Amino acid sequence: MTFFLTSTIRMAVPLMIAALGLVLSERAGLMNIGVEGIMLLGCFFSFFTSYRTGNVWLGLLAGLAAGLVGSLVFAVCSITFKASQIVVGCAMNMLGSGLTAVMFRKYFMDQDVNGALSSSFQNMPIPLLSKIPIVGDALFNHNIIVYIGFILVAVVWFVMNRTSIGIKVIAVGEHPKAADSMGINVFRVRYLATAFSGLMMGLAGTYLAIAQSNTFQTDMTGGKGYIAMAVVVLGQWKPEGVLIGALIFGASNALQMTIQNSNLNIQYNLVLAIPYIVTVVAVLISGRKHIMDASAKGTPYIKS
Amino acid sequence: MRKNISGKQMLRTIWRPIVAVIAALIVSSLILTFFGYNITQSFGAIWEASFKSVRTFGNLMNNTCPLLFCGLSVAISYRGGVFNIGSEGQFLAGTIASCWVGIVGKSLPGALLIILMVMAGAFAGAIWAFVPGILKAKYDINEVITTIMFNYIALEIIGCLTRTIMRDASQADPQSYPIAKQAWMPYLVSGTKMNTGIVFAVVSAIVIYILLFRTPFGFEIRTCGYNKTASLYAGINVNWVIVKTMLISGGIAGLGGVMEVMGSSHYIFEKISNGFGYTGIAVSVLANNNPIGVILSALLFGFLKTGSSSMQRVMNASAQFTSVIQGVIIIFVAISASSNLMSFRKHGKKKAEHEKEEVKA
Repeated sequence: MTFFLTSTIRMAVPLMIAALGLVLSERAGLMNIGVEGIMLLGCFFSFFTSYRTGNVWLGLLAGLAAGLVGSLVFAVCSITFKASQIVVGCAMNMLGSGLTAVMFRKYFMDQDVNGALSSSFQNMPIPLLSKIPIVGDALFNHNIIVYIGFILVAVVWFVMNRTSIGIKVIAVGEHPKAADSMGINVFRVRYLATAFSGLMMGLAGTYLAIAQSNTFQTDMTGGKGYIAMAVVVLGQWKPEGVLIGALIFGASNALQMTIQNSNLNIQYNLVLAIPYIVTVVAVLISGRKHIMDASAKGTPYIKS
Repeated sequence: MRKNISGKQMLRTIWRPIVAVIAALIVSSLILTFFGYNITQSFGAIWEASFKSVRTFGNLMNNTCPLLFCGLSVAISYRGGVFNIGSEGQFLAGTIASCWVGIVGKSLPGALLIILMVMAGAFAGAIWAFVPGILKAKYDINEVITTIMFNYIALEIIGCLTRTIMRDASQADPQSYPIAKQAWMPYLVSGTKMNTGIVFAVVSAIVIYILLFRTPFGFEIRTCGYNKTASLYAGINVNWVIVKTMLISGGIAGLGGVMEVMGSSHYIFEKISNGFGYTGIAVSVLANNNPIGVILSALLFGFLKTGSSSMQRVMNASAQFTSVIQGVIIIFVAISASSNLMSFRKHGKKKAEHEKEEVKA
């Protein structure tokens, strides 16, 4: 049971962080399916830096920077040059997957498959709370990025609901022209939203590489970026919804891992398919209500 | 007069992709240099992998065939305003179904078996696309997420089948039994991998072109892709068109899978697709979603794909480098399609408009 709960949290956190970033950028009217590739950039650069320097914090910085740069490429193409967001997103995925594979082969070819291990974030049990039986270890004994992730949920909630930034983001996503006439700089808001989402994707990638696995593998994200997009739909484009959505997906992943560890004789490919099937079902259940989705999503703003 | 316009249009449609490809090659060379690989040697290795001999040319054709099918699959869906990222999964569904028929129907005569395999594969691909299509049409559920998830599900299914019921135990790696010999595609040139699949692919491209640009149904598809609201007012059943577009798109990707099984591998395994569906997006985007253009861009990406492994062998650079080239090409094409960069025609247009306004004033 503790294993199940712990893995739920461990698997939920990267989805949650990436989805938090997507909430902001999607509400601002951007559909960034390049999240998978940008997360991979975050994975590789955090791993690479942490491996070379032995300092996880430098690794974290590198992961964030990689996410930021990746999302800025997306932003320049889709906001400034008004290219199709889905097409650019696909290109970002290819770039992310290709570049990281090329670099990994270049710098780590001599290592055997699992040879290259970097230093990684260690678990930091919270005093007292982590001593609670069953739940304590599952909830309060994690590495620092997990805690940061949960704090970020509150932060994004606060920004979206209690500050003018949140109103600006929503206005830009719902009706950019009206927002523009109210004196909001549509381009700047969209750029900032994309930059923030890029930081989150970088953080999610960092978590995967140097908090969860200590290593890098080609295409190690395995669709987590896309699942994060589904989490956004499931969470109805709200930070608190994303928290719940991510936990549901984390649980489906944990279930998959628990089944694999158990003696149940189920073919493991079928077990691996569980999270993807859950994604489709979840999107189906929640996707009918699009109230919070930005009306202007996917369309570039053309100032005339 | 009319000829003049279409000539200019031709020039414009061809001009942009060429500039984009050249720009992408420059950027990729810079990246290669940055990582310390020799450019001439790298591109030389890519070139030789396709054009060194008749045999290597056969490899090029063999790699182009699935890309052509997947590119067509993406092209028709994008024309219809549906973003089918799921060609990969539909391709896999096609391989699974046709391989299954090819194994079970061992005693059937070749012609009948081939027809059954083609039907099974196309049907499986269409079904795999139908579910996301109907979800989009009926419940307005974003097809990008569902089609991607269906890719992963198809991949796990193929992994499961090749490890359990379809597993050929005489092989070390998990793979299925081979299909019956009489269903193998004949080779066009003996001693090469060039098979009749490429002919079918080119014919399909022409058929899809005619369907899209010369039939009322194709007009409906393109209208829906251009403006859904206007199509609704014009009395087009938009939801039904979405479903039909997805069915055709998936069916073509499934056909690609059939050709891969019958012409190339003759059995299925987990990595049979090698990202054909995702590359299909690049193929289609570069061709501006035009089926005839898809033939050319499938050749280009087939060329890159063929060269990737030899580049890894000769230069020790990751074969995935072609993904980088693909990504850069797509970005340049996407930018050039939406902005005034690289366009010599729009400037003239704007000037003309300005002049008109001045005259009015």
